[in-house]
Amino acid sequence: MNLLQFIWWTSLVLALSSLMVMVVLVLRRMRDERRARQEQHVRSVIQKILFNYMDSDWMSGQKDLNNLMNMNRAAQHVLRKLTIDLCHLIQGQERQQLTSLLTRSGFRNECVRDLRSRIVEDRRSAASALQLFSDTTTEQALLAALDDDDGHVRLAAASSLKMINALPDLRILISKLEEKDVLASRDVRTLFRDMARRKPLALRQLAADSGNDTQLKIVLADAMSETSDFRVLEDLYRFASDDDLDVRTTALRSLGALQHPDASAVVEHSLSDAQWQVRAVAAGAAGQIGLEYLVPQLTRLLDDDSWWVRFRSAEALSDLGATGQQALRERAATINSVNDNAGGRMAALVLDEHGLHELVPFADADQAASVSQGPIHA
Amino acid sequence: MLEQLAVRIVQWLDTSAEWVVGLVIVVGVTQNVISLIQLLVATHAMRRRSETENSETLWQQRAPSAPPISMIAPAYNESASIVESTRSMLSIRYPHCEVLIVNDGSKDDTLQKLIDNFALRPSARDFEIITPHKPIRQIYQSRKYPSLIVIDKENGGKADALNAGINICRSPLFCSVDADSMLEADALLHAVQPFLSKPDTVIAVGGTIRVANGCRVRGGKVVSVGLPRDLLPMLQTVEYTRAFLIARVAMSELGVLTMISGAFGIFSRPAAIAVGGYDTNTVGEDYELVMRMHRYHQEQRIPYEIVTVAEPVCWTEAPNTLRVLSRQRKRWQRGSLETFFRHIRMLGNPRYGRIGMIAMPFSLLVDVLGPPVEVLGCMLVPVLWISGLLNPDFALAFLALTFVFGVFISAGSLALEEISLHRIPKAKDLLRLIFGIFIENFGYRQLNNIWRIQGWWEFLRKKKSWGEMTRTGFQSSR
Repeated sequence: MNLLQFIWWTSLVLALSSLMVMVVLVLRRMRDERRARQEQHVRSVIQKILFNYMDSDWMSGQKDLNNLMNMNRAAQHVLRKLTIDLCHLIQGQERQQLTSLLTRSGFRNECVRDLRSRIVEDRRSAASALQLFSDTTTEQALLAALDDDDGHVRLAAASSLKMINALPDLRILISKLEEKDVLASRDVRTLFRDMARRKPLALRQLAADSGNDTQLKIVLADAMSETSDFRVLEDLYRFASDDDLDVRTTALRSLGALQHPDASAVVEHSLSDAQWQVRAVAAGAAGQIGLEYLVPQLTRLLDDDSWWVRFRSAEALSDLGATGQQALRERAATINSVNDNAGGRMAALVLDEHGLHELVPFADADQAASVSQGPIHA
Repeated sequence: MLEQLAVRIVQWLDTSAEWVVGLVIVVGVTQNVISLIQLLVATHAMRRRSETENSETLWQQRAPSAPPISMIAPAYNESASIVESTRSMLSIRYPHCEVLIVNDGSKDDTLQKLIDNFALRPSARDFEIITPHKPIRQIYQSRKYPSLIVIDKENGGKADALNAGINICRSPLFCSVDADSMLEADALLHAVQPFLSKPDTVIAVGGTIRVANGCRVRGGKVVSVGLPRDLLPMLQTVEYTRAFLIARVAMSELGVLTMISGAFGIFSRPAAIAVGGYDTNTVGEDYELVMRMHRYHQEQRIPYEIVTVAEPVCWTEAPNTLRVLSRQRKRWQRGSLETFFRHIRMLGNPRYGRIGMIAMPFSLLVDVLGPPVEVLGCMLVPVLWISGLLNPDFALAFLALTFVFGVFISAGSLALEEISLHRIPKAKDLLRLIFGIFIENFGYRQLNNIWRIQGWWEFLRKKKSWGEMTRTGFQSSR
């Protein structure tokens, strides 16, 4: 075959392939449209039976169940989708009824099988779907999935295990997540926040053993904001003086969220941290906790070099009721011109933003042009 | 003597013709091979992506850990569509989201429409000047929707408006959106996923842009998807499908994504600030920002990722006249060239990793050499053919191959769209798109190349203006 023939043959193969792809796509779409119409009808029928089944007593429920189970393959698929959607919306007895229906339709077994799929996304979605079932088979399958090659599959399995209350020892879980480098994922934080609500003591034990593991400390400090067990304060105090900047800010954020007045000394100390990020978060925490006695310090921070520290301090003062707001008003009253001090401007602007004091913006063009410098008449 | 000269001229013409044809063939074949590789990589990537979760499940899974996002939409003379698109942004399903509309000195009644429709009041919101921009006249906050902030500033261009938005927003992430675009309700929940999985490394995420012409819009939302009835927007639909489902997905997969569309992209605010925000001296500010982010992170040796997600859909109004489309394409070409030459030192430089070794040579081939070589080919091949300097059999075969290859790649993008996203409403719409795939090769592609050459010329003349974009507004869509 010479070059010319090769070019023509290549063109011919590509043209035929394109044509075939297009024909297949159109035919497939026509089939899908027909199916969608049928599915819509089937869906309304199934929905009716399903609601009957959830409302009915055992005997008539069995009849509905048999009706559902005897449906054809396409209808079974619709039933499964509908049931999963409903499971995410309801709780308790009705949800149990629905999950038993899913088990009977073979969905659970399919998910367990998919946990061994070669495609990562199939394994991840299977691990996630298994949270609907709380039997031993599911539990075993999910525990095995904690050793998956992919970190996100491990994470999905851990989330499902948490939902069915079957998480392994937290140290083991942490090591499995760390192994695949997913501890930084935000989903891990959600997982641990939920655990903080359920098992605050377990978190404390982990905190005691965290050593130099910065990422773990961040996860734990973040999760502790959700607990109602104030014994975690001790751990948070320790994290708030950690060498790592992120650990310190996370701990202070959690202290603010917990709003426990005992944290005052740590917050006060952090207001003079060398890092602006820590000072800004500490100022926010002071406002959240309601540490009125820190008003003078916060007022001083209105003149901090960092815009964020000034802003968070002004916000904190506005949160601190009459005393804080009075401090803001006093500072705001000291500004007279567009080039006045940054702290006074910030005080005035935050008062306006919070609707505590209406400000009149400059009207003339010259002054308006410099609004970008933050100038506002008090 | 004269005879010798004539022979020499003919020989020179012959050699030149061979070189020109050779160059056209090499560039054409390389571009086709790259397209094929992109198609294969994109297919591989799309196979791995997750099934679209239903809205409720998505919310349950992502909302608890979703970081706050500020949506920044620069608006310049967007009176026709500003109310609808603002409503669209306000109706986004996301737990912590504020909307910042930046009125960039519009000459029409864009600002007044916003004031009237959203009950705006002057606000004294304070901010830090980190990225430079033109002076702000006034900041407004909505009485009806506390999360809506409108910034009225002097005209400084899109990049300038985005910089103002970056300064004023207070979220760790910001999403740049075109004011003439509409986001799907779950677009942010989908697009934020990379930031949730790798919060320490992901610094920017791009989403898919779709053509809204032909869709039915109500209350700032696309209520029924449809294909444009006019030919020009329909051909752009084919182009957008190819670009977003093949090129960007593949480049993201290979770690060489250099383009996140200004119409919809989420950025880490600190990462954008670290590189100085948007550059106001280019019309390709979106491309330039991403390139600068790559450059900065490579030079500082900071681990990072810039990715695209196929699912999040942003609907945009495509130009439906040749005049407006030509302006847009010339501007895109100018933007690409400005960015390429600004960062030319990265070209082939191993210090910049894959960006220097893959993305920049790709840009050289497609953005820099592509248009002149293609136009040169189109002009010279018939001339050389007629003058007998070119083998007609080869010329014909090569033209056929180029045409068929283009169709093949477009068919591939359509298949990907059908299998993974399923956004084309009906079988008859699919047929219309297939029709578009065939006819775009006869005139539309050539026109595009001519506009790109004009873009080249404007770049050489150092033209800086954007040109007017005429909008009809979504209300007038089908």
